[in-house]
Amino acid sequence: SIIAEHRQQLDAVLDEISDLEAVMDSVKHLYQQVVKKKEKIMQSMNLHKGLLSVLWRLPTEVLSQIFNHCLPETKLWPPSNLRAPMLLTRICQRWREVAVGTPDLWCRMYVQADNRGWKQAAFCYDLWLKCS
Amino acid sequence: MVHLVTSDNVEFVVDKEVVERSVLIKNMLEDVGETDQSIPLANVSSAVLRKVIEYCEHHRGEPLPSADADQNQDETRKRTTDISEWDQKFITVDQEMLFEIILAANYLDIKSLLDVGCKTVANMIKGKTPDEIRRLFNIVNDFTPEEEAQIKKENEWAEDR
Repeated sequence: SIIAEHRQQLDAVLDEISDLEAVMDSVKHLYQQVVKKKEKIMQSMNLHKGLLSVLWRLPTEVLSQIFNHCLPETKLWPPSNLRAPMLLTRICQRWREVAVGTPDLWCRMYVQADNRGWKQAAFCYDLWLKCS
Repeated sequence: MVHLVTSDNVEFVVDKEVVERSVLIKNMLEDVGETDQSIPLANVSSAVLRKVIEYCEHHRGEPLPSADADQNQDETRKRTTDISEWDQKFITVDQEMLFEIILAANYLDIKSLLDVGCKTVANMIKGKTPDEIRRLFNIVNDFTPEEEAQIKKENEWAEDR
């Protein structure tokens, strides 16, 4: 009878653990829902924040003119992702669209003849020429 | 004298020679002829028009840039730092006003003023990292993970050069 009593106690504890696990699962589920909701709100907030940017209101041709003035002043310059035109493709979707769609930005190309990563260079020269 | 009315309903009376630096207004006046009627400028507020008139007053009598000035832009692209001292002082305004002036210059078709505005913004962009540019202009990085991957691929080649 002692064994039966202990077994009963053990069963009760197991039931309690199982109940706690169910509660933990529902809390986890709730947490995931809240995280998803937060992500959605953040996305919407970022979109609205973007619309607040005064730059957003500039017509494409004006943005394109600004980009033209961003080009380095020397006639030839080695491509760099820290300078226009490549820099301008890394800011946001609209800037990328306008920069890629402005052939003037890509009409000069500096080709460096070395063997370093020639495959990657060929890929990028090809992209550059497509934009020009 | 020409009467201009802004979006916030403020009337400005400006010398014809000054206001004709705007190709839009110049063409309007040529089409309408001599008139006492006000010209409504629905896209320009009084604060911005005041600045635009200040610019036009200062540059009164200077030759207007020719229409084909853009054609040989590549050959004659002026240095971006090439903004006169007076223009630089004039355009030292807050970002909101700077963009409002650019929008007004574009709408009113005042090429030289648009140029000063665009060069100023270009100078703000130069030498900054993408993150710094986004922070400066309150731009959100809205690239998808696929676009980010493509950009990374494109930029690997020119990295740190």
